[in-house]
Amino acid sequence: MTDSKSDNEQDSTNLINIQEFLEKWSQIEDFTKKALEKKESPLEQIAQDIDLPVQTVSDLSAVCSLETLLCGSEPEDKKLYYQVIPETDLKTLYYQSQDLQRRKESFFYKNSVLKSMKYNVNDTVHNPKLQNRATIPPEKQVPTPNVVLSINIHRPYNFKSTQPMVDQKILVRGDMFLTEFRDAIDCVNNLAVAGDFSENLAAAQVAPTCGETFKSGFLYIEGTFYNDFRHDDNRDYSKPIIEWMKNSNNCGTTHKTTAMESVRFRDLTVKLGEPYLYMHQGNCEHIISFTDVRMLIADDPQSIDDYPFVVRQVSRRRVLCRSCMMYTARWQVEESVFTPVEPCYLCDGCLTSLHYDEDGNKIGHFKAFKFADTSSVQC
Amino acid sequence: MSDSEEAVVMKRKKPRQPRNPIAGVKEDLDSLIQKFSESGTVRYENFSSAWKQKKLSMIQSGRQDQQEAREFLEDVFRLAVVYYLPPNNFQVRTGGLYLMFGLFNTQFCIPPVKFRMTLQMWKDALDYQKEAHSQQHYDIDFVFHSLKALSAFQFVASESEMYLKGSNRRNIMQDIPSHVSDEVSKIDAIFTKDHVRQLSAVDYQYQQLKIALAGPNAKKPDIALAVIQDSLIDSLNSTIQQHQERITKMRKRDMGEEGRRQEQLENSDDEEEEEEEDHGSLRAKLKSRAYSAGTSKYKIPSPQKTSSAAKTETATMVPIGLMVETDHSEDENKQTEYISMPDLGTNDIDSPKGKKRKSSQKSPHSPTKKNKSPASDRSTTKHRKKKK
Repeated sequence: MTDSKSDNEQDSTNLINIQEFLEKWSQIEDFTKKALEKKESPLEQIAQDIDLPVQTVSDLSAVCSLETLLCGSEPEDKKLYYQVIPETDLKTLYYQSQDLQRRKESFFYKNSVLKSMKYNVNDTVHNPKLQNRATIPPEKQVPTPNVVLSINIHRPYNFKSTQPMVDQKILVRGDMFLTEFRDAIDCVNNLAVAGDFSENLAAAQVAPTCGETFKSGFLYIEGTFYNDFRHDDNRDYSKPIIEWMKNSNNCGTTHKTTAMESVRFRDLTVKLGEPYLYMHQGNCEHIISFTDVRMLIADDPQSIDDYPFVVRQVSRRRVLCRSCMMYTARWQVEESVFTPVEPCYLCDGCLTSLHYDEDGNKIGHFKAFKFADTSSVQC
Repeated sequence: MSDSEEAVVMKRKKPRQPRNPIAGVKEDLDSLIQKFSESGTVRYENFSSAWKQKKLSMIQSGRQDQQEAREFLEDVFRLAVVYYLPPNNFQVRTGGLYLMFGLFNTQFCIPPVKFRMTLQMWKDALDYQKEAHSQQHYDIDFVFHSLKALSAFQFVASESEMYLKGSNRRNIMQDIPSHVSDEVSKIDAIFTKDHVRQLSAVDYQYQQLKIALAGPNAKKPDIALAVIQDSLIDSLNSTIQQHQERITKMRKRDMGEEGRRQEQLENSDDEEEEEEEDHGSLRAKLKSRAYSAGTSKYKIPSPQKTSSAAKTETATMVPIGLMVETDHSEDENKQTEYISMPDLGTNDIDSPKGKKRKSSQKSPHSPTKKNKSPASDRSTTKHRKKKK
């Protein structure tokens, strides 16, 4: 299950059977409900584990207290940690101060460092609230022992950069169906409304979105297409692909089609770090990858309502209105004589004031399409 | 010649080694564990005193914000866990456990960064704990179980989170800046001692075979069978040796120059660190010198560099494409390139050199040309060409 090479030398791990992973860990460590409940006093817990009287344990905790680790020159305000580098003989701090100096001197270097960092300051990060399991009603508690998978969803592939950029990071449990995960993927195309609404702007608010009309989609993981067949009129997008692959001679793997709503995450066998695909609305493709598989512990969200848990949402640039440059664009205008470019992105106010007269009648011939900006999906 | 020069230009545009956020951490942790091991006992007090002495609670200071601290700590934790696992001896493993305890309790990321334990790692940890418990080391027991109670461990399938191909983290075990470590150039990788030994063995056998074919009493092989170079291995060895000598000479000379420039630095580490930074400034200085007004300014460095470049180009039999494997040889060529470019005065925008020049420095080009006297330029160009 684990690799002989260190993970850094490989692009992706070997196949990991989630159910097997769960069983192996459950054999050597306790992940049941009892273990996940946070005890009031950890000392009692420790005393129980080591088989010593509580008094001894509390003496030990005095020996190994936090004071033994502090060297006395810590700043009181934790924020000063970040700014001030104290005088020590640690090589780490020396190199870090050199790096900071370099960042100060060169704007370009500082920018490249900020770009290459793993975590960006602008991302929205949701941290699971530490909640005691006991406070959650039993029907809402997460079943244990359980597995947590962390999935990265990437932006559409951009040929300029070498790899797709991460858009979202979602936590799912092993006992969840794939459909629940599918519903959590925010794609702006789900909010798109087809058609020209220049005659009647208000109708765009109530028109059915693409997400409501075209509900089919599939997840492609390790050679199997998991299609969404929840609704009767959902199509099987994988059929033409499988037929094409059968006809072409190069493909060695056999591909299967299954229903997404009957497969749980723990039934899967995945490779970590391997790109998989989520496709919906006919041609909107998202690359997804599993980054992490781990056992559910007390610090993970304990309520089933929390899942799928969006851990990280990368900041998305919003498209501003061309005329006021203040509000987010809501309309994409084409074939208009009033706009400098085509297509032109305008907000509600600018569109009505530019293209409609006082009575609300349309001026000229143009087409207005409802534009859903990527930042308009809920973060 | 122009093709390889183009190759030189293209290779120079490779991005630098990315910044390593955990530079120096391994050394610090190593020295701490060593100090603790020297004390001989596994008592927590000794570790605590070594920790305090090294002031390791400050290890995460200087990171600019939570995100940077988080990235840093994740890699540090991965390094720290290694000390806790086999095949280290009991003393080092105890030091590793205490180290993990110290790092976890003195961090202030919210939510706290945890130690990722795979199945095998956890099994090893439990074995160690059993041993420690049987020897009645209560402080080891306490430390481990308090970490468990604080949920400092994550029980995972892979040692680090696996991202898409190409964006997985670099090897965290290598934490010294890349130019300080001995880079193995591709030539050295191909012609290792083992390979050369095998080659010479094969060559010997080949010669013996040829002699045997020539007849029972022959001492030399048949002339008709002479299809390869006679002393192949010897010439190969001498070529490689010359190449290595040249590399070390260039490295020494570059490092010596930087040292003279930065006289206020104390350690040798500083010198090597400054060298990397000064490459950028050195190039910038040369660029500015090359494009600034006045001819004398860029004549001064050129004779030294071109003579050495000339030596290097003629001395070895290694083709130029291979020569540019190391950074320093690239710098060498680059410096000569910059100085000779305005001299040649190609106005041809479509040539690769012209394009490069156009993109890097747009305005200073024409004033430079005007200021120079054409006669002196051409004389230096001719002079340099003759040397080559």
